Amino acid sequence: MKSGFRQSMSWVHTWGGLVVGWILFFIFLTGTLGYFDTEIDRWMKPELSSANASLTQSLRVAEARLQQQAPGAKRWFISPPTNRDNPQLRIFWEMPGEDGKRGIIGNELLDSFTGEPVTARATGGGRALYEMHYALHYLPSTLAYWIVGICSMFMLVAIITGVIIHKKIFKDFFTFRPKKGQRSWLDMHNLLSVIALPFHLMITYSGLIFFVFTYMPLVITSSYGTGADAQEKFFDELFSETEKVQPANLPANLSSLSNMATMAETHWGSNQIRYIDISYPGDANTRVSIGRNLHSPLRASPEFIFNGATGELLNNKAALTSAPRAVRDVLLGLHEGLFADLGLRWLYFFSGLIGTAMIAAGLILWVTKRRPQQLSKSQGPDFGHRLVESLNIGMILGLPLAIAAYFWANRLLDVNFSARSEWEMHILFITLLVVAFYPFTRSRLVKQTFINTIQLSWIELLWILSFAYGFLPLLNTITTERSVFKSITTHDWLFISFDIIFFVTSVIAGLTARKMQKNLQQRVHPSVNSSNIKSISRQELTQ
Amino acid sequence: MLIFKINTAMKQQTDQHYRWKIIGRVTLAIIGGYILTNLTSILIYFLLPLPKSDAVMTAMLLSFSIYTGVVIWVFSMRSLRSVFWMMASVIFLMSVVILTLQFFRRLGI
Amino acid sequence: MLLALGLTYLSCLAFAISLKRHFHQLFSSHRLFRKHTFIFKSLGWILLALSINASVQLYGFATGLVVLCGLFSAAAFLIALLLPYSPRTIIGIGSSSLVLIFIWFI
Repeated sequence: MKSGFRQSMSWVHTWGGLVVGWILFFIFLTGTLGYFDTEIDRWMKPELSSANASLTQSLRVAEARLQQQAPGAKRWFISPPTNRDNPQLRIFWEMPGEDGKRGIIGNELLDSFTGEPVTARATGGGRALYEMHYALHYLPSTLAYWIVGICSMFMLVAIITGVIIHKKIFKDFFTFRPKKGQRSWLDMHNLLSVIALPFHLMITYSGLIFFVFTYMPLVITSSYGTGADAQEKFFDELFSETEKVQPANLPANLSSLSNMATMAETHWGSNQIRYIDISYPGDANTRVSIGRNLHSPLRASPEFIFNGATGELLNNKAALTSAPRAVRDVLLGLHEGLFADLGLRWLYFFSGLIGTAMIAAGLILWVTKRRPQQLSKSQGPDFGHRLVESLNIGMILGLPLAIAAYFWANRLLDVNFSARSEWEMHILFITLLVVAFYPFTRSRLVKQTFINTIQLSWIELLWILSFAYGFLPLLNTITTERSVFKSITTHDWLFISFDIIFFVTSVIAGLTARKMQKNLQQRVHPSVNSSNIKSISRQELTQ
Repeated sequence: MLIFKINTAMKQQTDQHYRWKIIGRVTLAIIGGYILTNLTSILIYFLLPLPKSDAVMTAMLLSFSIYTGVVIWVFSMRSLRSVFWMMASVIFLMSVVILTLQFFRRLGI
Repeated sequence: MLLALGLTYLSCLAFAISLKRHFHQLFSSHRLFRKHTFIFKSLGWILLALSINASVQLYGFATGLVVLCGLFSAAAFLIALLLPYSPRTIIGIGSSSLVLIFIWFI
């Protein structure tokens, strides 16, 4: 290969990173936002109130609603407001299916006081953003999982090769030398990778583990055979589902859920109930499993299992059953961060942003390094280089802008528009596409050198980004009841935090735009500075 | 003029040669790596003295580290030819071992 | 959480000082000897151990370690970004965290 180990690894890191960099940026940014998916859900449904009824009341109305919507179901699932990750009352049901197929499923978000479904605007919300980071969008899910998996595998190799080629990893730990062009971008890329290295390694590896049963099926087929139920047998053994509930086909009333919940609470303390899972409600063999809130990276929780008809406690199932399964649960738990309280969730968010920025810095480093050579070519830069420059703009600026558009659409689309949640997403992707084609379109409209087109595209789009986020708090005030003043006076921290984040993003985008503008002017007219800038004509500056 | 033409032709040939080498390495790393990783994981499953589902889970947990290691190995060797032959022989040997183990398992030994 | 953050910050600071380039960025008038490097590096490790202890006591073992990784990234990022732009701020934040930690203990 190349003349040395480090050079080969450098080649793998650079080219492997480039090929999947844009998709990884997408995955990282949407995933990072996913740490606050419940909060984004609430922001995108401003009609929702945050007040919740007591556990007993919630369970009562949930059961009544489930009985109304899904009598004779195979499974009822209640997520009460005591679920720390999702503090709203949600119900889910699955009807019995025919011929081994899955029956009709449904879910509803309920008002915990009345049991009526909440009437809020239809939106994918934060949940849709988070789901995109592993299931993408517009693609069949298995295909999306494979694409994401391949990109994650490339990322894993990139991390390891990155560590290999980073010679002075400890000496250069805090090194950042700004205003030195390519060197600065390399410093930034290195800095962002190294300070959050445990996070990047964990998130990538655990991300792969999420779908390991899809990615490495041959291990299962060689041990459990290729039969149709081979996978199911493996899962049953791994997750210790040794006794499967069979319906007795005898009707029986469901015993008091509140009593069972209270019994669980005496052991766990109050506000610890994460879910209540009911198999075959209304049957004599009905089982009720109550799970606890997560407190550690271990993603499994202990369960109390009751005989649903009599209310008798059958089993206190421990969270840990086997070491390999525990390793998997801890890895997945670390990735999802569901156990995290608010402070730790912010740290996760911050680390995710570091990862996203690291990828962006890498992509920008790639083009910055090759620009001098490319620009000196007689025919102008190669098609490949121009493609990378455009894709960089399209993803690094396009995705944040697209997310802003998503939020704008959420506030502006009519509440009664039936397809509004799909259209919010369409608008997100249309914006992404528009920004990706921005440099190309601009070059057709305004004849300039390639490098000027690219740099002016960056500057203009940054200003647009700054405006898009800066105006959001005002848009919120105009279109909803939750104005900035109201949020401050009612101490609605959620809305206040969102407004702050929007403002900060806007400011960062604006400052970057201004800085790039100044740099560009300096480069074009080195004699221009703030004192004589007014006397030089605009035409001269944008030459 | 002729020498110039021969030189550019030679350069094009080396460029082409280089390109095929790259394609070869990447294919070997990705596809060969996937095969090798799966075989190694299956071997790990057979050799671990754990209950079935635990052994399978452990093998799967390790699989991505193995894959990464294989990819780095493919790119670290100087000669593409030797990487190819080494990988082919390891895959062959592993398949033989696994088939033997499966055969004996089925017989109940 | 703030205590752990303060300790982590100081730990990172100590590590940074032990590195030649950053020492000169922070204290341009002094000279750095090998024994100083050793002192600052050990100080860095001790402070890191203290912040691990604080974090684990507050959150439990597993969660505590996770919190610490996050805090360390945040502290390192802050220092790395401040070093080229305003080294004085770093010292300022360092001294105030030292003071706050003392107050917390008393």
